[in-house]
Parts: sequence; structure tokens; C-alpha cells
Amino acid sequence: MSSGSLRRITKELTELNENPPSGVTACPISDSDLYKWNVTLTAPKGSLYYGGVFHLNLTLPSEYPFKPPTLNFTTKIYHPNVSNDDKGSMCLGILRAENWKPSCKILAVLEMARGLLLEPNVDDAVETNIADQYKNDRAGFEKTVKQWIKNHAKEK
Amino acid sequence: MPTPQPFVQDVSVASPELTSFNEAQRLAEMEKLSSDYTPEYTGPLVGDLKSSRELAHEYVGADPIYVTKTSAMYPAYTHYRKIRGDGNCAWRAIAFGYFELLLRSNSVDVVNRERARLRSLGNLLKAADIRDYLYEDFATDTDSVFQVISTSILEEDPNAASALLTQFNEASDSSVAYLKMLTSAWMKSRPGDYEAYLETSVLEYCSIFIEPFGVELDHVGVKAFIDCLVIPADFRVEISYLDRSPGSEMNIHHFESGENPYAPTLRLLYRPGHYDIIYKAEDLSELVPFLDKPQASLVQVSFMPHLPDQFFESTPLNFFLQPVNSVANTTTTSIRTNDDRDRFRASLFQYPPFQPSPLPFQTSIFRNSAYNPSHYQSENFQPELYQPELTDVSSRGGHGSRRRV
Repeated sequence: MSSGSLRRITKELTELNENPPSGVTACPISDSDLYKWNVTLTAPKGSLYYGGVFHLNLTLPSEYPFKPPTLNFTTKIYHPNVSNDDKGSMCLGILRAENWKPSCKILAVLEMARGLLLEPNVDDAVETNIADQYKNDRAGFEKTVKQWIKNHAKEK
Repeated sequence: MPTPQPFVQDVSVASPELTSFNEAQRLAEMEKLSSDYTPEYTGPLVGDLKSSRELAHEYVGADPIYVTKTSAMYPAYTHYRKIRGDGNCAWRAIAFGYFELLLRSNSVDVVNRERARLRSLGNLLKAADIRDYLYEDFATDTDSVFQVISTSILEEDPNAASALLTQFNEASDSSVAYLKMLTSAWMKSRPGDYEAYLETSVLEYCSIFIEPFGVELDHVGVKAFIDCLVIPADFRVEISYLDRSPGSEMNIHHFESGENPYAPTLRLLYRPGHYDIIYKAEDLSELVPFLDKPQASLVQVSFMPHLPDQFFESTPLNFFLQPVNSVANTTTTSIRTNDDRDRFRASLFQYPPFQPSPLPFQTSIFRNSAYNPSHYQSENFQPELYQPELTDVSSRGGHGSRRRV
């Protein structure tokens, strides 16, 4: 099983390198462990998060592709779908075990994460206070987002 | 049937003066068994063949309706196979049952035909523009199960059944993933067949209920999966529903093409949220390979899974075989006549479970022992062999109706 998952991961990695998605870089931390990846996201134009550079850890379970990857923001981000703690975990949609399909690719996970920078999913929020603010006090929300980007997500 | 219980409704209000502490504890355990039943999350993905009386034991203290229904299961269904309850149980149960019927067909032609059919179904995935590396590992693992089956048949492997179980458990996740993709592609290729049963589009349904790994399969999904995998192989599926609906027996739902009345049957037991495989005695003692020749002439013989002597030229079991018409019987089953004799393989694997004849032994000790196949406690219980004039009717009846008190 694990040789199968390794083969699959290698193929996905090759595909990502041949056809890199825009605004995303992703690669394993080391050649010896293909189950831990470094990911960098830049928000698309028009996003409130535009201008920020976000670092994430992507971890593939040994059961991959039968279980979903896990995604954690290591850069602090003010977002309804990212837990506001030291884990910075994002867990919704296909990242949930019950929604994960073995035919989903890492690319789909990365694209979903980038899509959420453009448009948070307030109906499936992990931080409900932030989601409420997004819905009812957009100006206040934007202000905090910008502030956090300035403090945490600016590449020097 | 359990003795009437005054406090089955709510143990917490059972007053101490009315019931002893032990009684209350026993009732609490019963209540717990009944309400907290959840399928096991440990153990093999697909378990070993077990006597279905073990299934009844799970319910000894449970809801009386379950007790009645599970007790009624035996001896009609003599065996069952536990499937791990991880959300994929329906997929695993149906897939394993399908492979098991292929093995029991004992025909490499049938196995190859199915193997080729599944490969060609893979073209649906290609057509749906799914990158091949996303499914080719799953397809290869699934194919390995076919390989094990055809090798077993060719080599007349007496351990074929356990080889299949081992291989399937190994490849199970991959097979399930592959069959999910195939079923999804199948449904999308004929949306008209399923749309009417759905509240959403077939596309959305597949994306929520078929494709995700570990999501429970609902009735429409079960039907689609069976349509895709089992029916085209000329097998039937029978699902027995064990629920709290009134009645003493389970409701049975059939899935079949209706074209072949002799199609081998895959039987499933459904308990709310969970599927296991169940077997009738005849499923496990299938002697004659069903062949893809529906026009072959048929002959009626007795229910006993013994073949007429001429089928066994040199078998040590001959000693036990009864002449066809000497066995008291009411049920008949069909087997094929001599034109299939060349293909009949008298290997160990194909022999029926040991079935001693009741006729040579007529002592009361034997009649009342579990070695007597007409006794309900026999592993090889054969109700057809029950001969009232030879048996003490009153004492036997007493055993039968009061055994789980």
C-alpha cells in the first residue's frame, strides 16, 4: 500500500513540476520524505489577501490516497476557514475524510486553498467569529486582514 | 424468544424493590446491547466465514424483534462473514461476494470474461478524462484479485477460498476506490436510470455519495453498484434487512436481471448502517459449477448436496452418499447432466461440508446430539432430514422454541 502511495505521490509531483499552478509553489521538504511538503501561496489579484505570501505545511498520510492530506498555515492569517491558533489548520471540503476522494489530487487541495483566499467559505467556517465579522462588518474584517498581512505575511 | 420482561422500556426507573440488583444490571446490559450496537472498527476488512449462530448471539439480550429475526435466520442462513464497519462495508461486502461467486463458478472462462469486462469499464474513466495514474494502481490491484482466482481454479488449489480472502483484504482499499470510480462513471453514462430516484443530479450525487472514500452507500448507490458490477456477471443479489419493522422474519430485497433463474446469489445482511455477507448452506456446498450455458439440460435431484454416485468415480466420500431418491426431501435443487461431466472437478475444495447420513444411526443419544444433521444444534443442520416418526417430537419441539431464554 505504501509503495502504491509513494508511486502516486511521485507522479503527482512530476505533474506539478511540469505544469506548475499559478500562485502556488509546492514541493517535498526533503527527497527522503515525500509525505511532508512545503507550500507557498500568493493570493490572486482582487483578493483581500493580495500582496501577502503565505507558507503552509502539507502532510500526506501513509494511507494516501485513501485518506486526505492535512493543510496547516505556518504564516498567521486572519481567515474564517483557518483556525486562529498555532496550528493554522484548514479543514473543509475535500480535506475532510468523509469528502475525500482517492481520485483527488494534491493540486486540487492547493487550488482550493488558493480559492479560499479569494472567497472565504463562511458557511463552513472554523472561526465563526471571523465569519460573522466577514458577513456583518466587512470593513473591520478587511482592516484586520491587511494588518495581519503587514505583520506576518510580507516577504522581506 | 426471551421470557417477557417487565422493565425493558427504561432501566433507570426500575425500582429496586421490584427487581434485584443483578436483574437491573442484566437489563442495563441488554439495553446497552440493543441501543449501542455499532459495527466493529477493528479486525480484518473482510472476516472469516462464521456460523450464523454467532450473529444471533450478538442479539441475545437485545430488542426482542432483533432476537426473533436473528433466531429465525438460522438455519436458513448457516454462515456469515463480518465486514469491517468503516463506511466502506457495502462496497467491500458486494465486491468480495462478487469475487467469491467468481471463484465458486470454477470456470476460468467466467473469470476471464469478467476481468475483461472490468478492464473495458475502465475505458469509461479514460473517456471521462481522468488522468490514468489516478486509477491505474487501483485497477492493477483489483486485477490481482482476478489473477488469484483464475490461478486457484487452474491449479485446483484446495485453499482457494482463503487465498482469495487474503488477496482481497490486501487489495481491498484499492478495489473499493476503483469500483467507486467505475460505479460513478457507470451512473454518469446512464443518468436516466437513476435520476428519478435522486433529489439532485447524478453528477452531484456521485460527487457526494459515490466518489468520496468511506461514505456510506445508500439504496440508490447500492443499486447502481450492483447494476455495474454484479448483474452483468449474471449473478443475483439478495439483501435481507434486519430492522425493527414488525414481523418475525427479515424483509428481503432482490436485485436480478431476471434472465437466468439459476443465477448464483450473493446474499447480504443489512443492519441499519451496516452490511455483512450471509450464506445459505447450498451457497457453500455448491458442487456443480454453473456454466455460461443457460440452455444446458437440467435434472432435478434431492436437496442434499450429494451428487448421484456416477458423478464420483473414485471418491472416498462415496461411503456417505445416499441414492438420490432415498433421502426424504421436500426441496429440490437443479444440477446439470452428463454433458458437463468433463468439466466437473472432484477436488477437495468442491466437496460439500461433511454430511453424515442420519440413517445408519438411530439411537436416541445420536438423534439428540449435535452430530445429527436433523438436530437444530448441528453445524450441518438439514431440516429436510428431520423425520418425526424417528424422533421424540415433544422434547425436540421444546428445545427448538425455548433455546434462548
